Amino acid sequence: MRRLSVWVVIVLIGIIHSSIAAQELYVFSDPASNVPSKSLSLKYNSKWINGDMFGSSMLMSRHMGEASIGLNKKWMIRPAFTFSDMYTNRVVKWESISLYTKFRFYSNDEVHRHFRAAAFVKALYSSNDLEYDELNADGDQSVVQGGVILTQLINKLAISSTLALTEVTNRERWKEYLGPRDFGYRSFNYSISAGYLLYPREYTSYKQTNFNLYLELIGSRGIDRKYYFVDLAPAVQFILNSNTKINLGYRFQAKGNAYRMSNAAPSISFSVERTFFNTFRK
Amino acid sequence: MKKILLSVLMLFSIIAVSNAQIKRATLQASGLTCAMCAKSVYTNLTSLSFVDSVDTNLNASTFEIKFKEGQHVDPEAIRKKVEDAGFSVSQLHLEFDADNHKIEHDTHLKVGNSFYHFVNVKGKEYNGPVTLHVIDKEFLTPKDHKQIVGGSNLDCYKPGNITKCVVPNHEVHSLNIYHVTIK
Repeated sequence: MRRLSVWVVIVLIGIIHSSIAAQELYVFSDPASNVPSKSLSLKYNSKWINGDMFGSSMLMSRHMGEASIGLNKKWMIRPAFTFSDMYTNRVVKWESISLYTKFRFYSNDEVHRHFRAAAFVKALYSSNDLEYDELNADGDQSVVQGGVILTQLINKLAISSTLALTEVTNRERWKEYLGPRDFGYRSFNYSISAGYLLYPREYTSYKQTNFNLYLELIGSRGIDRKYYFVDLAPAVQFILNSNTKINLGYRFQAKGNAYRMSNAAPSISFSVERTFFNTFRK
Repeated sequence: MKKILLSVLMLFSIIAVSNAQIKRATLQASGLTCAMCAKSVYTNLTSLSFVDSVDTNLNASTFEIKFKEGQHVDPEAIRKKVEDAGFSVSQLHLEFDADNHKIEHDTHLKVGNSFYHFVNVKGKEYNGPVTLHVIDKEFLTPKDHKQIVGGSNLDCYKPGNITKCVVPNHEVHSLNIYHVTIK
């Protein structure tokens, strides 16, 4: 872990000192910035994980569709759904629906830099039963998650942090049960993300393909049950035509003691996102 | 009635009405570095009815805007478009061709439907292309604004409908007014 932290610090210092532009279009988390007002962004994401199912390892996937809508310059909503075979024994089935809303309440813009803060709430209804320690707002459990996002874009570095509380709302939480409780219902989730532009070195047009590198740290800690994990997630991103993002990410557990879908929890994410500017303007 | 008449007289006495049109503008947007972010500003700007074309310098986050002939240029609408894209205006320079316009400190010039109030300009006759630097709060970064107006929070430095200001003559109208300077 200590060696890993050293690496993270080295990479961050490298980003600060590099002469390349920073990016905050993170792959695993959201920045405090919103989608533009009256714009629509459609995203498909798939996550692939080698999970432990009935004692044997098996490749499982989750497919997510989401639509981000900018209601105005400060406020956006994002309805989403997931399909997966993670809890249904090899059959890909509808799994969850959710609504995410984010409000940017602070913004201080300077040339090539900003500091922004936003508050968000996500409510997710999932068809899954509680099976693991890990609590998130990705579809594994029915949850309400709320928190704040702070994003600092400063010269060449874009760094963002999310702090959130997750509260399980599965019905079994309130069922009368006399035995010992198997799962926690409340967790603290956080992430720290950094990103930078590798290519192009000089912008010449909107048509140029942009190539971005990201490194994110995603962690969680149980509040009513003692467990924790810290994941690292490097990712690459291509932006085509200044409106289409193609993301490829790898996420693995750096440290932790939580009972999760897979012990070291390595997973691969692939997503495509297209932004339609000014869709809802007359 | 006397008061109104007096106001109208005053209005004519301090406002030069110009047939000149604002032809071009240079806008710098702040709070962004990515091309995708600039694209949202670009798309928003091109959706304005009085905008003819927009040329982007992605490295500097600046936009060269050309306006349509004979159309009224509305700086407030430009600002709203940049903010809707998720960013801010850090600089707006409007260019118009002066034709023996006498411009002095604390005078007004009407171009299209907007009034431009000159601040800290050398009083003289202007001929040819003149660049107006908008210095209202919403058109500058907080840092630049502090530097230029000394952190003044006077109503004077808010664009839009102004009723009262530090300069008494300001009270004569409540139309679109922008504070500008010439460098």
